[in-house]
Amino acid sequence: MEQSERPIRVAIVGGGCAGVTAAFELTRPEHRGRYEVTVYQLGWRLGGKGASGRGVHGRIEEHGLHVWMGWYENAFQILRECYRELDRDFLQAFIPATTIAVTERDTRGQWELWMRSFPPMEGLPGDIGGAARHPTVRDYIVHVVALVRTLFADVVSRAGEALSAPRVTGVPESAAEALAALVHYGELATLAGITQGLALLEVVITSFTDYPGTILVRFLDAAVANARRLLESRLENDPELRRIWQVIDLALATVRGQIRFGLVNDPRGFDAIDDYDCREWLLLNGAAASSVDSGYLRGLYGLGFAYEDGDFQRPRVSAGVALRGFLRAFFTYRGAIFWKMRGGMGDVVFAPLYEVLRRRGVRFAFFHRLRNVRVAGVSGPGAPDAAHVEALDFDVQAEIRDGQPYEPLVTVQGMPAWPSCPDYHQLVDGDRFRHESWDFESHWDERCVATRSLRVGDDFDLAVLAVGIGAIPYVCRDLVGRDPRWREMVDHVRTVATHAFQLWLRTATSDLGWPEPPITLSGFAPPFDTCADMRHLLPLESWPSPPIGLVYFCSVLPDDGDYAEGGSVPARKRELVRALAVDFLRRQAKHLWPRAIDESGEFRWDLLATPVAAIGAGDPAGEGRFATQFWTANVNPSDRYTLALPGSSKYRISPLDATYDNLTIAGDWTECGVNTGCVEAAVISGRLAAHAIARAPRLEDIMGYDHP
Amino acid sequence: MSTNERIKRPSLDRTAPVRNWSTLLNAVPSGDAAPAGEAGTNSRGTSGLGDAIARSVALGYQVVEEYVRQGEHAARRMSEGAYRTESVTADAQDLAQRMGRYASELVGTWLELVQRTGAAATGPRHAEPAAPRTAPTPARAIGVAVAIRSSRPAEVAVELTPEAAGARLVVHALRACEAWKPRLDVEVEARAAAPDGAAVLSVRIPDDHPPGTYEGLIVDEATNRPVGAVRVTLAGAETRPT
Repeated sequence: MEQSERPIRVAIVGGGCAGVTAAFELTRPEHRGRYEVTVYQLGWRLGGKGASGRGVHGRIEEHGLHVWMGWYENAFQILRECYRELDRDFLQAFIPATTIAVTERDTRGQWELWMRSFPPMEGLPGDIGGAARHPTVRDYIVHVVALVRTLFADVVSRAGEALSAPRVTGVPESAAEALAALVHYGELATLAGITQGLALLEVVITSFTDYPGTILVRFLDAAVANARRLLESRLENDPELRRIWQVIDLALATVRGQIRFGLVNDPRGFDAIDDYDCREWLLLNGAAASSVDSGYLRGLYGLGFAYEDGDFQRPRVSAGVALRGFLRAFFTYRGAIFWKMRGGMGDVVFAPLYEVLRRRGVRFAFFHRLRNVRVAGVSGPGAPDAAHVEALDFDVQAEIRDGQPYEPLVTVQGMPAWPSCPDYHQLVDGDRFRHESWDFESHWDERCVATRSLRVGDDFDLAVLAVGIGAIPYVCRDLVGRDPRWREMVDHVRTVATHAFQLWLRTATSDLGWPEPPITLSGFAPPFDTCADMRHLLPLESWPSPPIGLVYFCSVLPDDGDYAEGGSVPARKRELVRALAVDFLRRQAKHLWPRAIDESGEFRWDLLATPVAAIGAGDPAGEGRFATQFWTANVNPSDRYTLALPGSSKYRISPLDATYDNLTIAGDWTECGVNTGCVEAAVISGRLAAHAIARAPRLEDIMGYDHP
Repeated sequence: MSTNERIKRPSLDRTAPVRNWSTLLNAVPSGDAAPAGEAGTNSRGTSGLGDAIARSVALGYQVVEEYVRQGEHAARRMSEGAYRTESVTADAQDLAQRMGRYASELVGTWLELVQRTGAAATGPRHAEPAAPRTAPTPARAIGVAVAIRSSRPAEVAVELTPEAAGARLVVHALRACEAWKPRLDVEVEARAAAPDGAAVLSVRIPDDHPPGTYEGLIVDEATNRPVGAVRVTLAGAETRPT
C-alpha cells in the first residue's frame, strides 16, 4: 500500500456479521487509528440476516432461529473481545446446550424423538493461545472411527442385553435353547470382532502415513455388510438400535469415502468432493438408503436450510462443505456443542459490537441503500489504470433531524437492544414515513429522500462490500455486467428464502404434553422443520403479565416464483407464511404438544399469549389470535440464506482476491474456507476482508481458515 | 484524480486457504478426486510395511468372517433340527478356541506391524526399532459420588471428561432455563473413603424448589476450564412465575 500520513478511509457497505467484523478488526487499537471506518447500512439497524428487534412488550423478534455452535471460534473470539472492552462477561450472554434432537416418522406415521447429548469438551469457543491447530483429514478419520467404535460398543451392549435375559440362568433346558444361545453368542462375537477391527483400523490410520486404502475399504465393507446382516431383523423392532446403526452406517460411509477418494493426501481437502451432493456421496460410499433418509441426516439438512429452492423434495448440499461442517461441529467444538443466546441476536451480538465500534470512532450511516458499485479501469498486470471502484451510489432513505447521528438503540430490561421499527422522532418527516408505512428494509420499497454518491479519493479510499449475495445482482450491476467471475458467482452461489414464527404461550409446554427439557429440534414436519424452546428469553422481555412458554419455528420457504408486482411481494409472502403457520399448528402441533388440541381436534388458539395492545382492541379469538404473534417471510434478496449447492464453491470469490485494487468483499457467500451460510463463515470472511486491507489479522490466526 | 494518488490494497502473501498441511510440506502430487480403483489408492501401499498392515487387517477381517461363518453354521443346523446339546458344547468350545487363536495371532501381527512402523517413522531404515506403540488407551475412569437430599424424586446426571481426573472440581450453581427459578447449589468435597479419592457432589433440594431441569458446569478450579456438567431434573407440575 502506498504510504499515507492521513488515515485511510474505509467504506463498509452492510452491517451484518461480516461487515461489523471487518470494522472491528480495522479499528483495533494496534492499528493506532490508521483506518477511519464508516459503515453504511440499509434502514435503522445492524445485523443483516442476524438482525433482531424488540417489539411490543419488549418482545424479541428474530429473523429466524439463531444458535451458535461450539466450533464458531472466530465469532466467539471477536465477541469475547468485544465484551471485554465493555467490561461484560460473555458467559452471561450464552447458555451452553448439550443436546441435539431429531425426529422421524415411525411405521405408524407417528413422530419419534431422538435426543443425543454431547459431552463438554475442553476449553471455551474463542479461546486464544496454545499451539496452532491444523486438523487434517486423517485426524478426522481417526475421530470418526473412534466414534463408530464407541457406538458399536453401544450396539453390542444393547444387543447383549436383549439377548441374554432369558438365557443367563442355569443349564440349557433343550438343544434348541442352547443353540439359540450359541447363535446369539456368535452374533455378539461377530459384533465384538467388528469393534475390534475398528480399533485396529483406528490405530492403523493413526500410526501410518501410508497405508493400503484398498484393503481398509475392503475391511470396512465386510464389517458393515456383516453387521448389517446380523442386525437387520432387530433394527426394525428396536428404534434406538436402528438410529445408532444409522449413525454408524453414515459415519463409516464418510470414512470409506475419505479413503476411497484419496482425501488424506489431496491438497484440496474436502473441496475435492465439492461437486457431489452429500447424500449422493454417502450412497456412493456404501451408506444404506434408509440411513441417508434417516431423521438424523434430515435434521442436519434442516439445520442448514439445505433445500434447493426451498423444496423439501430436493435436499442438496455440497458433500465437501457438509462433511467439513459435520466434522467440525461434532469433533472440534469447545465447551458445549451449542450455545444459546440470552437475548436476541441483535441484543447479544450487534448492540455490544455497535457500542464498541462507536467508542472506537466508527461512524454509522443508517438509512443508506446501495444502488450501484461503479467500477473503472481494467484488470491485469501493468494496466495503467487498474480496475477499481470509483464510486458508491446510494439512495438516502431518510435524513436525521438537525444533522445529528441516528441513535439506534433502545433499552429493554436494562439491556441495550434494537427496536423492531425505526425511531421516527429522529427522522425528518418521520411522522409521514410512519403514516405512509415506509418499509426501509424492503427490497421493493424504493422510496427515498435523496441520493448520494461517494467518490474514491474524495469520500473513501477503500471499500468493503458486505451485503448479502442475494442483493449483489441489484446493487453491483457494473461488476456483474463486466466481470464474468462475478456473473458466475451470482449464478451459482444460490440462496433460499426462509420463514419463521414465534409463539408466546400461556401454558408451559410440559403441561401441553412435551416430555423433554427445552431443546432445539430439527427434521420435524415441513414447512417448519426446526423448532426451539426459547423460554429462557421471557425474563428479558417486559410483559406486564409474562407468558410461560416461548417457542420458535423456522425453515426454508419454498420459492414459488411469485415475485411479480414488486411492491406487494412482502405483504403477499407475509400472508403466505401466516397461512402456513396456522395450518402447521393445526396439523402438526399435536405431535409436539398433545394437549394443545381440543376435543374437536382444533389447535387451542387460547394458549397464545396476546399483548395488551391486542386485548385493548378486543382480545382476538380463534385463529385470529395468531395475528398477535410474530412471524416473518425472509424474502428480501439480502435476507435470503446462502446455500452451499454441489459444485458451487469454485465460483465463490475470496475477500483476498485483488482484482479490484481498492475493493474487498465480505459475507458468508465468499470463499472464506467454511463456504456455507453461518455466523462463523461471515465472521471469518470479515476478518479476511480486514486482512486484505491491513494484512491483519494474520491468516494463521483466523482459526479454521486453513482447514481441509 | 490521478490513479497514482489512489490508495490501494496491499499485496498479499497468499489468497487461498491451506487445505492440507501435509501435502503443503511434503508436496504430494494431487490426484483426481475420483475414487481409487481396486488397483490401489496408493501404490506405495505394497511395500513391506504395507504387507504387514495388510496381513494385520486381513486377519481382523478373518475374525469377522469366522464369527459369521459359525453363526450361519449353527443357524443352518438348527433349522435342520440336527442339533444336540453335546454338539452345542463342542461348537461353543471350538468357537472359543478359534477366537482365542485369532486374537493371539492378531496381537502378534500387530506387534510386528508397530515395530516396523516405529522404525520407519522415527528415522532411517537402519535406526533402532522404536518401542512398540500401543493403541490409544481408554482414559482413566473417573469416579464421583453424588449425595442428594430431596423430599421428592430427583434425577441426577453427571458427565465428566477425562480432564476431570485428579482435578479439584468446582460446580457452578445449577440454573434452570427460566431465570426466575432459584438456582441450586452443589457442594463438592473430597472424601477420602471414596474410591480413588473421588469427589462427592452434594445437592440439597429445598422442599419448595420449583420443578424443572437445572444444569451447571463442572469446572477445574485450577484452570477454570469446564470438565463436565451436572443436570438435576425435579419432577412436578410447572407453575406460573409470581
